[in-house]
Formats: sequence, C-alpha cells, structure tokens
Amino acid sequence: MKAPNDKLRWSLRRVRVIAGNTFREAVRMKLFLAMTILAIGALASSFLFQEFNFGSSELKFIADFGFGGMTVFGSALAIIVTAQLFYGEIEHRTALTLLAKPIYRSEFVLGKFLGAWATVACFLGMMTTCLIFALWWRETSIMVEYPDDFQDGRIVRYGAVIGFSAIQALRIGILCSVVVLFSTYASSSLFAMVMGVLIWIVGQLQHIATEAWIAVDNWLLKGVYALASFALPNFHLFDVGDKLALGENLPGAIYGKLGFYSLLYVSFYLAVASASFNRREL
Amino acid sequence: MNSNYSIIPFCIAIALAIGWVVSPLDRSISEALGQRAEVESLRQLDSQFGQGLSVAVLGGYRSVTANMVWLSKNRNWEKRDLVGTFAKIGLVTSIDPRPEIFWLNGARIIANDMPAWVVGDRNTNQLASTEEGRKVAHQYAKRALLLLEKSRVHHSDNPDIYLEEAMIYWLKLDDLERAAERVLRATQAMNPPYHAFRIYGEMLTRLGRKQEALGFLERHYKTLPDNSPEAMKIVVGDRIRALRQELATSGEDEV
Repeated sequence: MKAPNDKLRWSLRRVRVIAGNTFREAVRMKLFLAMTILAIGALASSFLFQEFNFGSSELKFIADFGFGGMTVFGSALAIIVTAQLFYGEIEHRTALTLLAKPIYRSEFVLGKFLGAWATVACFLGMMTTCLIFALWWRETSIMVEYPDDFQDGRIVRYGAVIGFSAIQALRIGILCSVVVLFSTYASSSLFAMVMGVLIWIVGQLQHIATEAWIAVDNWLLKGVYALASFALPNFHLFDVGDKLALGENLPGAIYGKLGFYSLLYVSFYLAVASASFNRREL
Repeated sequence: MNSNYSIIPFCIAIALAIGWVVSPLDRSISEALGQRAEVESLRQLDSQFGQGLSVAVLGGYRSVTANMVWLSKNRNWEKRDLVGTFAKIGLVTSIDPRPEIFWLNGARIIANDMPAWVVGDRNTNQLASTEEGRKVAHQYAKRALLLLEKSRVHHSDNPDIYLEEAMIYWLKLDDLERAAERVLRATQAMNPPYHAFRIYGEMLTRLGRKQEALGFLERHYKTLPDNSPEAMKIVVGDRIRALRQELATSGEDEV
C-alpha cells in the first residue's frame, strides 16, 4: 500500500493519532510494567548495596544506580517496545487494516516512532521522580546526621538529574529510530531487536573506533574503523552521568548540541525507514 | 517479501556522509565533556575497549559490579591465589576505573603481598636479603608500577597515585632518586596533600641534597596555614631549623 491518494495531504494530526494509540498500547503492555517495577526495584536496592560500596560516596552511589536504571532499562525497553509495536503490526496484519485507510506510510512510521519514544520518555520520567525522591530522602537524613558537611546547603543538584534524564531521552530517541528502521526491513521482530542491541553496543564503542582510526597503521583496519566511526551515532556523547553525579555543571550549549545531533540522526533513520517501508510488500 | 535491498548501498553512503558532516559537532561535544582520551598505543586501545564495553553493557551499574568483583577478589586474596587476585584487580579497574582506591589497593597487594606469597611467610626476610628474593620483589614492584601507569588515563593529576609510585620505587626498588621525582610530581599535582611536601624534603635530605631540601621546605613553610593540624607547620619549622643547623646557615626568615 502506498500513498492512497495523490491529493491527500501529509498530516501531523494522523501522526498524532497513531502515536497516541501506540503509546496507549505500549503502556498497557505487561513488559512496560515489569521493566518499570524492575528498574525502580533496582534503584531501591542501592540502599542495600551500600554495604558493598568501596569506591564512591553514598549519594553518588545512589545516583549511579538511578542513572544505570535509566540507561540500561530505558534502552532495553526502547528496543523491545519499538520492535514489538512496529513489527507486531506487520506480523499480526493489523498494519494492513490501518494502511488501507487514507494514510501515508511515512505517517505510520513517524507515529509509531513517536508513540514508542513517548513510552520510554514516560519510563524515564517515572525513574527520574523516584531517583530524585531517593536522593532527597537520603540526603536529608545525612544532613541531620552530619550538619557540618552541609553548611552551604544541599550538595545534590536535582536539576542535573532532570538534565541527565533529558539527555537519555535523546539517546533513546536515536535508538528507537534505529529499531524502527530495522523493523521496516526485518522478517521477524527478533531480528530488529538483535540489531537494535548491536547498534546500541557498537554506538557506545564508536568513539574508540574514531580514536583507533587515527592510531592504527594497517590500512584495512583503518578502513573498518573509519566505517564504524562515521556510519553510526556516537552514544558515548550521552554518557554525562559521571560529570553530573560529581556535581560538575554541563555547559548549556551541550544540551542544544546533543539535541541537534540527535535530531539529525533521528531524521535520517526515519527517512530511510519511510523509504524502506514504502517499498515493502505487506 | 522484501524488495528494498537495492537502497542499502545508498543508505550506507548517506550514513557515512552524515557521520562526516556531524564529526566536528561530535568532536566539540566530546571535548566540552572532557571525553577525548588520545589512544597512543594498541594496549591503551584494548583497555579503552574493555571500559567502553562495560559502560555499554552495565551503564551506571558498573560501580556496583566493580564492587562485587572487588569483594570476590578478597576470596582469592585470602587463598593467596596469585593468578585469580591479579586477574580480578585487572577486571575491577577495567570495569570501573574511576575510584582511585581500586588502583591504589591493587598496586599495594601486588607490590607488598604477592612477593610474600611467592617466597612463603617464613621466608619474607629473603625478599630483602637474597638476590633471588630481591628479584621476586622487584618483579612484582614493576607489575604494581605498570598498574599505576595504566591509571594515568583516568587519574592523570592525582597526587595519591604519584605518592604510591614513589613508595614502591623507594621501599621495593631502592630507587630513591626516582621516588623523589614522583613525590615532586605529587607536590605539583592538583590539591597536593601537605605530607607530600614533607616527604619530598626528607627524600632530598636522604639524597644528600640538603641545601635544595632547605630551600624547598622554606618555600613550603611560607604557604602553610597556622591553624591546620594536617599542615604540621611546627614540624616543618623544626625540620628547617635542623637543616639550617646542619648546613650552618641562618636563612632569610625566622621559623
């Protein structure tokens, strides 16, 4: 099914409807609930694991746990939810019913992406709230115990926690768009998920490929590293948890630059996904 | 099913073009975040790959994973398992290289405990008295120094790492000259501890460079606060007076 009518205008309203339905469908999934409970449980367990902490301060340890939950569970959720919601429509033939209506496939692709992304953003929002509460509660009790250490007020910068969450939402946006792209090609949702995980890991290591590209002498290796460093997004850029947990300030421009960086990649992957989905026979 | 494979080369070409276009942006973000670590050798590349992978797979959970591995290392340490302990020290510092405690304690275990495990508790005196014992001690001291050298990527200006290296050079390799050079670096690092200055003064004295030690301590004395117990201003003053007496000089300032 291609564009149903030449005169039909591309509509953001239809995208919004598809995104809204996708979001509702996603938050009703047991997987979403399970992941959210698991991530919040993992954050709560940071209080138990305090006994095994040797390397960092207590509040930083809790923040690390929360940031870990957001990135690890958030990325896993993004990959699984996007693949299931997009490929599920093709697999269960519900896409045929939907695309029989006057609707562009690119609207379907964008709507599915936005719905999946909104689901993960919702997860990140809940995790951020829980992390802020956990840090605030522990910091308050430490303040009562050691008032001398808090003469200048609270040391945790809660705005930075929200900033971290926003940056992870950008990273996960790119990941969702990659999974959407693979779902338009895939012949099973498992393939789209596996490719999503691979891109997640390789994207995380991309900066090493860039460094290696300069350091290695072998021309064949140089070519492979160059390909890896240019063809994939650098997810390491979004690893700002260390800086924020240590109380450092992120320059304001970083948020804008990361936003622009994500927008470029998301636009590219969604454009390719739309082109690929247009050529796909359902 | 799919008839869209023909667009793959085109997509790869566009992906490469986008990567090339955003590379200056990528560089500027990573520089602003202080993420750029130059890879000078394949060994560094190997270690960065391990750390990158641990960040990718474990994310923020790497600190707790590192702590767990460190705990399990204690079992190997109790059993005096050389290979297991060494491997786990390497693993912990690879999973989470940020806490300096893993590097410092790891180096201490390698330099102080492992030689004793090799020769046995009853023969620890051989580590200093026999040629063979000294060889063992030197071998493990060098391994400990190698571990601390690796920490430089993450703790480039950490005075505690320099001081630990100095102690190994001094007490395990009997190389006071190099030990003094490391302590000097510790005094020049960011937020150097007060004791690093006192140790450097003492090392210069032991090296016979008393005039240099006196000058160094006099300069340091002027920077010390009066009311800090860690600064030990009185002790530094006593040392300066003793050195002046030995060198029979009066000095410009009263201490």
